[in-house]
Amino acid sequence: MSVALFFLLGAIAAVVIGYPLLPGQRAAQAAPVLSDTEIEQAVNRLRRAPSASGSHCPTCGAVYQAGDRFCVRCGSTLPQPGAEGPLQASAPAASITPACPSCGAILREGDQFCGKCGRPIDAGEVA
Amino acid sequence: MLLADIGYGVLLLTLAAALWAGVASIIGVWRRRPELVASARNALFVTAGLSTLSAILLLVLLFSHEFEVRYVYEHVSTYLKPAYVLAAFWAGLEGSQLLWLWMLTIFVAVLVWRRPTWDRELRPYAMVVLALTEAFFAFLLILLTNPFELLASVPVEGISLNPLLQNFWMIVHPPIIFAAYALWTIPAAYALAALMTGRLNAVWLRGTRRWTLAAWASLGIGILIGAWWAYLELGWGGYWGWDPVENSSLIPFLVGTAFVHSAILQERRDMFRAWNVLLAVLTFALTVFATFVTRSGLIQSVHAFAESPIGWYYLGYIVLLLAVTVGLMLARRQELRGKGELGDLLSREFAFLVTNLLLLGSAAAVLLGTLWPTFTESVTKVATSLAAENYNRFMGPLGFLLVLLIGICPVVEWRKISAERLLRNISVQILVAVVTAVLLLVLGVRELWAVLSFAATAFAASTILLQMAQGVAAHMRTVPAVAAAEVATMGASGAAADPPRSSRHPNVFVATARAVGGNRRRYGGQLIHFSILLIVIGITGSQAYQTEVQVALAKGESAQVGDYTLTYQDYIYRQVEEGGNKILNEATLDVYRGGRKLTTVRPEHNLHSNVEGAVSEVAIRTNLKEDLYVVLASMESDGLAAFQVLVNPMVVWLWIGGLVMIAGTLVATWPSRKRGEAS
Repeated sequence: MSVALFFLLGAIAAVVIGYPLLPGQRAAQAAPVLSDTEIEQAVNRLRRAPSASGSHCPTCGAVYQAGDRFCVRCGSTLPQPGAEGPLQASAPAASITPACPSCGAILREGDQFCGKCGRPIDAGEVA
Repeated sequence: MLLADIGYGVLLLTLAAALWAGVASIIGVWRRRPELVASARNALFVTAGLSTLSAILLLVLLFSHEFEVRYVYEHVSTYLKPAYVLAAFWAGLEGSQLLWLWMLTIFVAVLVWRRPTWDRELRPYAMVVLALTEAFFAFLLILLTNPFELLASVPVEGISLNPLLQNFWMIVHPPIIFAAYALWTIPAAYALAALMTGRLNAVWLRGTRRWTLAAWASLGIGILIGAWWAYLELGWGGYWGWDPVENSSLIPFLVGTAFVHSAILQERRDMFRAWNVLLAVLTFALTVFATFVTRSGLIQSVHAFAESPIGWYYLGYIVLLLAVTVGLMLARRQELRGKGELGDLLSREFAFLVTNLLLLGSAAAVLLGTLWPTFTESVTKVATSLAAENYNRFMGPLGFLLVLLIGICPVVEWRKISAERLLRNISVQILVAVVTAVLLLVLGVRELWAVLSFAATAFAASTILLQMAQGVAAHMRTVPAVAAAEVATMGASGAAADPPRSSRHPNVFVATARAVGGNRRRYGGQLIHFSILLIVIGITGSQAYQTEVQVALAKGESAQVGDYTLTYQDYIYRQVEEGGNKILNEATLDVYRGGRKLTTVRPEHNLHSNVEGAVSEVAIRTNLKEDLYVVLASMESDGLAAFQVLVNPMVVWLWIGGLVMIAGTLVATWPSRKRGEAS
């Protein structure tokens, strides 16, 4: 008798607890919402990241890539996004990758200064 | 035994549901599965329903005298009055554990009943803590303190309830204390949720404010009722003996009081983030520690509960809880840095800090005093207990400083106040304090500490009353904006012969109602401070001026105690009651003062079959000035009786303070009609 009652109570409890898990009920639940923390993190990521076309040099207006410390056109120092963000070459590796003779950073066609160390680059070095 | 088996089964199901609630909410927040969190929420409702069912089952067993159940056999009898059968529910370890679980599950169900608003982010994490705490209690009930355990044979009669617990206040005291313990779980759970999510701004504090205040007030009221019970039932003329069991409830109360205050600092000035998280968890941990103290047998206590290994489980739980908290705090140390700075030495911030340190200092001192005998015993092998004077020696000065701070804090400004301005703000209060002290000295009060205590109380009370008066006066000068606008329009049209009623300056009652209604949290807080001052008055008066007389009287003789004359009129000697289980000895005394009969008192000195030694039922005549406290110490067959008569001044102010404390808490926490306003 008591065993039967135990199972009856257990069954009622299981139905109440399991009800929100039923397939039909899942839709009735609020859709997963982004937490405030996640939104904040996303905003911060966007703030730090350069726009799709890259950011612009404050001196000459040339587009530069994330991680560049010097403008590739005029050679002036570029603003850094906070202290964090390790410096890394973000340019896609070309089939023949010209490198800066001073620091080894990847250079692209038309660069007149190295984006990483600021060394003036001759046209022939980026051929 | 059908009902007992069902009861045990229900406990098993409660454990399963609570565990599921914990696991489902963890996975739900981790894997972002809201349906699992919803299932956990339902599981918390199920635990509330199931624990209510097991509580009802235990009550049914108690009232139907099913002595086959050990708990029923040990705590009730056929001759026990029905009201005390209810008290028997929580008289023993097993029943009180069930009560604790029951209270916790009910409060948690109430908490999660409302759709999440401010705590949308925090709630699933808080649910993890709450559900696992429920599971812990359910686990202990199943493993160690099963109230539905059966005896091998069926006894014909029960042992009955300890006569010391046969008191009206024992029906209400344990539920209030355990309600407080259960309520303290909620701020602690949100503190841990804030740590887990990294949302350590004041949102969790503001949101749990009502729960915290309810927990704080229940604990305070519970302690006061416990003191009242001791005063009525233990028959030594006092209400507080610094017993480990009393101390173990006082310690979380003091830490909780510190938390309630430092929480304000975080809300207002974004300070003490780490401090608040720690205090919230610590207060809850200390409520569990209180149970550890009373149940482990580690500490010698006159309350002498049965020893049980359950204490060590509690200790394990506390260690785990604190380890998790400290670990999370280390991981979140960046977010725990608030923006506010302490600022000047003469500032509200600093006054709050001092209050906090004093409260925590006194909690630490009481804790040390409670544990001290255990340390010394382990070294010297002699069981000792710290005398009450030792506690009074350090708690007296600490209490004095705290009372002064009640008077100073409200008049100190945030950030900075100049010494001259501070002095100007408290000049009236100092005057009141000095006048009080001089008056008391003139009236013949010679105990310096009592004069100081009353003066400090007068100082603090005058701050509260002045602030109240300023608030009311401001409202009396203010004409409601709408009515004022009406008057202006009427004036312009030239038709304003008689201004409408609502535009007149409000009278003192309306102004008071508006002042309190406009800032209930502030005035509720002041009312609570006022209640503390009333309690301090009661303590000081009763400690300073207790008169005690021990006298042996034959029938017809009289004794003089203070202003009172007691005449021993009649007696009952060895009257058998409760089917031979109680032997009643009762004396009847008429009380006179100034030749006028005031009342008749009937102290008792009884023997009970279920306890060794006699139990006194004291007779008390109370008025606002003092209590006449009459104990029948012994009685001979010819009626010759020994009495202990005490005159305890001002004790009633302790209990009045308790009522004011309830009122203040209600004012501060009553739900506002304005939606979304966190009080």
